[in-house]
Amino acid sequence: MQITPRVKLYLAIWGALFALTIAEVIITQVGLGKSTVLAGLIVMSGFKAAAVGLFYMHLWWEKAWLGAVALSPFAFTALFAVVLILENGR
Amino acid sequence: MQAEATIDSLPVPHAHSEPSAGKVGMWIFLVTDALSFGGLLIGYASLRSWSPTWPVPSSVLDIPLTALNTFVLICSSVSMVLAVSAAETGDRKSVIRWLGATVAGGLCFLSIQAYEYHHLISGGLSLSSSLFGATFFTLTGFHGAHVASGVLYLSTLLCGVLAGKFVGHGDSHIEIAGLFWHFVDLIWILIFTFVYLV
Repeated sequence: MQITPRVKLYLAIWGALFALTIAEVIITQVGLGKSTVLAGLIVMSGFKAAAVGLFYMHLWWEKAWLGAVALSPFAFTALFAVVLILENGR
Repeated sequence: MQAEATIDSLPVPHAHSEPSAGKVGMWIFLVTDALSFGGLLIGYASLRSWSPTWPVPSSVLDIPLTALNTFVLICSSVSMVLAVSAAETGDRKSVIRWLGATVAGGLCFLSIQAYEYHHLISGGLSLSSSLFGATFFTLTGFHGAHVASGVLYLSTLLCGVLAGKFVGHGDSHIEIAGLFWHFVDLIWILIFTFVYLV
């Protein structure tokens, strides 16, 4: 198989996903504060999910409207979370 | 800015063109599926925050083993994207090799998950033992069912490729199946973080 620039990009993302997974495990075990760990985990998992969506699922090269469709579950899930929090506050 | 221009210039077939009907259909399915996972994850978070007795996941779950399983799924995502890339160039041999590797990765993931379940159930954790058990098995089991159906889907495609179908001539079957497989990987990234590590 030919190592094209696109294949190089896929392999670079694979390396980043591997490194971030290791970093996620390490950050939970080095005795940092709970909120720091939570923030770090959210940022790293966000990066990993975005890398998979943008480059492996080719959203980077797709029409913008398809990207909006792909992002819509995140918006609806956030809305669901807000409603639950408000209901719990009653 | 330069990196953006470089990525934009990579030769990806159908870049910035209208997606095919099959691709749009898969995306619509994935959106509805993502909403199911979103509901389950929010349900898990709500029950965890309201429950007075919730175990620290790392004290119950085997984090290094699951990190290894996450790596297996990430590797299978890379092999899938390489299969898609090879299919676009009509390289049938590479498609067979990478698609086979992806199926093997999926089977390896399921085997490790079955071992983990066996270990947890032997230790007394089950669907009915606690709220943690119920939400853990529902969420990871629902995801495991997706991996199993993905393995079946890709195995069917692999048989088709071996029979001389699905490669080249603008055929997008493998690309569409790839979307499903990457989605399964993406969801696992979130489950691993929020169920195992947080």
